[in-house]
Amino acid sequence: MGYYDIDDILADSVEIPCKFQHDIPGLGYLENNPGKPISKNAKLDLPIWLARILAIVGGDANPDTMEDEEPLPFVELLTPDMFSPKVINAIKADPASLDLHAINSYFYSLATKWITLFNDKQLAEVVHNLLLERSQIINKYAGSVPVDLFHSSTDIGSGKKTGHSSHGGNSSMVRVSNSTFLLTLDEFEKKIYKKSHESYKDTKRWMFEK
Amino acid sequence: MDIDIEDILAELDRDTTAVDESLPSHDEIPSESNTTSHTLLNNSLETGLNNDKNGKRITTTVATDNNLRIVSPELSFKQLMTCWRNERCAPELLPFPHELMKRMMSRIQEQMEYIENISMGFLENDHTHYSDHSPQDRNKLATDDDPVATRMNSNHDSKLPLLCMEAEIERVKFVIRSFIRCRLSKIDKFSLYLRQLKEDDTNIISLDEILSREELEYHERHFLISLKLLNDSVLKYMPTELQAINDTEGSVNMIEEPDWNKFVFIHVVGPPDGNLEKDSSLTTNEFNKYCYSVTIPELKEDVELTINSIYVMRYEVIRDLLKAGKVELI
Repeated sequence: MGYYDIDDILADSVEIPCKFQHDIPGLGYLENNPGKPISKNAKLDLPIWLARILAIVGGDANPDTMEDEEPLPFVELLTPDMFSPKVINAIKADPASLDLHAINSYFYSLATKWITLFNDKQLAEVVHNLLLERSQIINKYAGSVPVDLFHSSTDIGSGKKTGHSSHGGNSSMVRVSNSTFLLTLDEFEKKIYKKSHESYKDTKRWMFEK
Repeated sequence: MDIDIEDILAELDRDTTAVDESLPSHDEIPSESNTTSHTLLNNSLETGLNNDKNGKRITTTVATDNNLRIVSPELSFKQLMTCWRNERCAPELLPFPHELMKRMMSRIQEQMEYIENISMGFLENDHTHYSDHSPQDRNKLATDDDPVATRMNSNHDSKLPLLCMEAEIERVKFVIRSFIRCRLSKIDKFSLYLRQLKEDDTNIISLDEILSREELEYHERHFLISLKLLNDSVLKYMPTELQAINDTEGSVNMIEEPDWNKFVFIHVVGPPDGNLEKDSSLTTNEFNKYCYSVTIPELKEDVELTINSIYVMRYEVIRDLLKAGKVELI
């Protein structure tokens, strides 16, 4: 998660629900009505890069929080949909058939951020299992390199046109069964899949071609 | 008793190293096992370092199981391969092998000149049929810069030795090129981090040890160029407190450090001199095998790394062993 990591920047801009714990003047533009103050208990969706800081830094000038030992932070992070009990149960039930991409395309990096913020051991365990379970399937799909890939390329190389139709049908079959699963991958898993698939493919190409 | 015999054998070996050395260097090119080409090739490779070797023979010889450890071309090529592999797999920029690279570069230079001299001999087309296979003589000829002597060295019409020499030099050059390119990409990546290392006085290893002279210059100038681009295009419009490109106080650290906990595949090779008893960090486990004991700090778990086995391990854990040459990355 470097500074110039594009995936990290994109993941940081995902919005999560927050509740304001102070009246703050001038911040109304977060609610799309600039010029007005933001009121206490207002619920807003803020991008993580903003919410993360606001949830740590406290408002010290507020008279309401004078009696508190620790200053109350500006916002309280509410549990977003993607970490709701519904999703957690779905993960526990069957990691393989879960559509992570529909839940959030940056599920893992968001989960990592969330776990670091709240030190959530339970969620860490759930996500850990999820990744392990799903990586087995990813490996299965990544390892299945279509045979016709090499046939067609060698055919083209040697100028032969025979056997293309049957191979074409075969490959489309593979692609359909692959794609239903591949559409459920999140961005992190896609990277893993792409890399491992490439290395499987290159190894196979090296073994069977020159 | 055994030790005594080994000592005597080592003494004997020392006298005949010139002959013996051509034997192990057959490993140098695993794919091409043509013996005639090898004798020519190895000797010519050795010539460059012959003087150097004679000087070093006294200082660097360690008698271990009949083999003398000498900085031979074959050994330095093996070292280069290890350096290359480690560099490719390690997350951090490893220290630059100054001595090794100096040796390799001078050897490539000499070998190229040698090939050129031989091919001149082919061109002139008067081959003195001089069939001499004793390496000492050939060495003498090869070190001689006299073109007549080198022409005599190309003693037959066969172009096979020449082909092999050219292929061999291409192999070595490829490895060096790939090695340096890999390092340059890491320098690009960790540019800010390396700069921080340089400015930090408390740090143990200096930048001169990590980088070669050319890499230092590359790092410096590449950094300035990219800094200029960033400054002119974006940063000059920012408020002054946001203009730093190496801000570590903000919400995201701008200096990218190597991923110290990256998992790497390691092969535990044992101490570099092959002497298991002398290594104090080695212990024996319950199966009476030699192993290193390392601790993973986050999990508070001890792991035994048995010699000659392969592990997937966090880089931070095995970093010291890697620096000592006791494990290799694969």
